[in-house]
Amino acid sequence: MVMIDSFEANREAWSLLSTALDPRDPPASARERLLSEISGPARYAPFAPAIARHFDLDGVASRALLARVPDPTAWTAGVEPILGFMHFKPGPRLGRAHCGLVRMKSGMRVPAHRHRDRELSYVLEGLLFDDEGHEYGPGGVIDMPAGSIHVLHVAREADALVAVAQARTDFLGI
Amino acid sequence: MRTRPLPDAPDALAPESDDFLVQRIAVGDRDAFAELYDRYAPTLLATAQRMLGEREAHDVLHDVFLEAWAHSAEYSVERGSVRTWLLVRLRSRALDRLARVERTRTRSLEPQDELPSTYSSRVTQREPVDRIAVRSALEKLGPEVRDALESFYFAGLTAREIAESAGVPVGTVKSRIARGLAMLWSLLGEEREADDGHD
Repeated sequence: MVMIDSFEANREAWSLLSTALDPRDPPASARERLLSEISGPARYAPFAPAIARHFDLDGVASRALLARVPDPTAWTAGVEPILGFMHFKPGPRLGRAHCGLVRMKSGMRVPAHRHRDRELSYVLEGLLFDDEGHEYGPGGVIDMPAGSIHVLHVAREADALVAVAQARTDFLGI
Repeated sequence: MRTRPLPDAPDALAPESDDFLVQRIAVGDRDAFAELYDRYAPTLLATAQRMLGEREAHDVLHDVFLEAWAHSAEYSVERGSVRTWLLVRLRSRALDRLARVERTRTRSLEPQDELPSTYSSRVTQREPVDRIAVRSALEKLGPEVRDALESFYFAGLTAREIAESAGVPVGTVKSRIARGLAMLWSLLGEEREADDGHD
């Protein structure tokens, strides 16, 4: 039965009316402007729900944090191979974990280290891999339980951008 | 516990599918976004122009794709196709603008009622098959049903407003819309009885 009073229930059918229209090509300049915008201030906007979820932030705080990422003045310079970092305050669920966004240089190796507490990393850009063959690209989560040990590498193709909730870590000198 | 990264998409999603593109966009893939834009901007722009006219249509198109970029993680295949996800956002934004205009002047349906100017016979190589099928089916429905569908979908009018404009009972308009919707559903492979919708 067609329930005509509900647009929602019929939205798939309604949208067919649009497909019957003559398509109109937007000017190339409109496409360029849009792509420029998502490469600038809105570059990391798609990650807002995931950052909110993993770092216990509300949507507004998550979007505001990610909007600052393309701004060079929001970053503290690091010492290579750490290119820079930006601290942020997580929500209460993360307790006393230190949270921040970290830019890591391509080809960087993070030596073997043991996590005294759980550490969570969320990849926004680049590709990381560990010695066990796991790869972590954009959207990837590296969730290390307390007591775990690992080595991380940043792929040579591009620098990496990672959001990290870090507690106490012991580097093992390996 | 370690989680594999998203780039390993579920097998069910073909690399060229719309769903796959949106999944890639949700992890910041700008190439996937550009591909989605190329696929759907022409249809969305045509819809926006149909609803708003030339100038505002471009603004709405821009806004809707920016929204799609920022909210790509919210897309759920269970709720419908990517095309519909985009078009519903576009229609909503366009209706918001129409409502703002409505505050200062009365909206007229007349410029939008001429079917031939809307659904011309232009066929391009990239044109999907369902465009031709929908046009053909609309032609068979008759002008009253087409007008009712368009007034509801593109102009955002209620059945009562359409009835007042056309000078017919509300039940008649609902019946026309139901017939049109039943046809649209049949094009999607779903047979739904056209309840006449009378009050």
